[in-house]
Amino acid sequence: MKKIGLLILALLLALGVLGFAYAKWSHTATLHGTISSGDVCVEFGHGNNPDPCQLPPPAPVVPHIDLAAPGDPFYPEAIWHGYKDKDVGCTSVSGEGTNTLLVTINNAYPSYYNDLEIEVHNCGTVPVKISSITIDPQDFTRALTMFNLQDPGQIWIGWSNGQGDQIEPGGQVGSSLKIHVEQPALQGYSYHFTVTIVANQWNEPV
Amino acid sequence: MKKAAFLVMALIIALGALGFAYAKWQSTITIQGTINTGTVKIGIRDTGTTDPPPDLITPPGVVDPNILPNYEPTNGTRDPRVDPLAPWTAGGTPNWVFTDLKNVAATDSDNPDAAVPVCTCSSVGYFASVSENITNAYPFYAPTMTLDIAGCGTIPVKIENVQLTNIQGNASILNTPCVEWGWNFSGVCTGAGHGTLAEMVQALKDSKCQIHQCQVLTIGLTAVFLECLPQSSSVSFDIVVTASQWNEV
Repeated sequence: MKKIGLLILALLLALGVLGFAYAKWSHTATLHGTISSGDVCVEFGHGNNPDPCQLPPPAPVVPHIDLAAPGDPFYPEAIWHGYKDKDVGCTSVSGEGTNTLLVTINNAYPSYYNDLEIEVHNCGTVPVKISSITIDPQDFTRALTMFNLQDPGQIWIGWSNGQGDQIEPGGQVGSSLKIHVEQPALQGYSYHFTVTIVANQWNEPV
Repeated sequence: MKKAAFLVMALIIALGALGFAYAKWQSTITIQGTINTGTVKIGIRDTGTTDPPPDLITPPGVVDPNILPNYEPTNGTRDPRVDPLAPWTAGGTPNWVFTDLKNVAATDSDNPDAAVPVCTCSSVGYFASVSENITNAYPFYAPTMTLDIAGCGTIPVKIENVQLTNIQGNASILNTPCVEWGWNFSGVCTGAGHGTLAEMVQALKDSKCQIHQCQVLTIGLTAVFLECLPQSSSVSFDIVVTASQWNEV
């Protein structure tokens, strides 16, 4: 009896399924989806270089001479942001609008100092946050402090601002790259360093 | 049951972390920095003396035309000297006399001790050192030497120190010449004075004259030997000039 009941149930189910397939009216609606992802992109913008190697034409009104460093014992504190009385060293900057900025200081000497304005431009469509800034001296010891004759470092490099800053698409933030040549620097020598700036999409932890 | 829940939680966290790592987009930019340092160097050159060698001694019996009255002597013909009857006074222009004294004393000319100059500017070499040898000097002999110190490096320098060192022999000789000196750097840094050699060294040190690359500080030095100069005696010495970058002195 049980077996017969089970057989009938299976038949009903099979017929039901068959009947449903044939009996069902249907209509299809389609959603065509497109996902265009954004672009995370940063590049270097045009910053300010107070001691360029080439004079912009026409000749500038402001004398084109070397900067003095803050705290320079040979230069009064009150006027340190002024200039020394000569143009001996100079700094060239190229690569604006790309992801590699070339900074070259020529004919540097102990106490040569420059404070470069580094602009990071958001060239993408997604807001970004600067997550890390890493300064890597390649062939010299980085001085911990300026004007410290006990410090064996040849070059002092400082960076200020930018870390954690959010940059909207098309926007830019300015940072400051400060370089000071220390007493242990060798004459007629080339020192190299890299500064790596990593920017993440804005909504991820930096 | 607790163990299973813990396992599930750990799995979720692990996957979350994995998802986070892959989900983050980032962009990296790099500053490539190069710092080329300059050089601080100076070189020295003897540009001349009023009495270069060789000494010209007129053989006995030969009439020397240079003894004619009012004859203006030229270098190498007679010794430069001051008139012993009208002694040279310190600070004044040496009262030059050119009588029939023959050229018996001499200073040497450019004699760099190294064949390779520290630098060359306008085809003129400047060396690590020069030697000045005064031989056969006598009272009132008064040679003048001219030296050029050039900036050989790319960084401007200032005279920071001048030392009279390595004195060997009869040091008293150094006190007998009264020295008349003067220097000039493009009319910007000038100095003049008189006194002992040590005082000249100090004055030059105090000048803090500044020299740019391939620019020259010219020093004129006249030594007037006085009567107390000991005979048959000699002294050697070094004058060491130290220059440092202009912004630190």
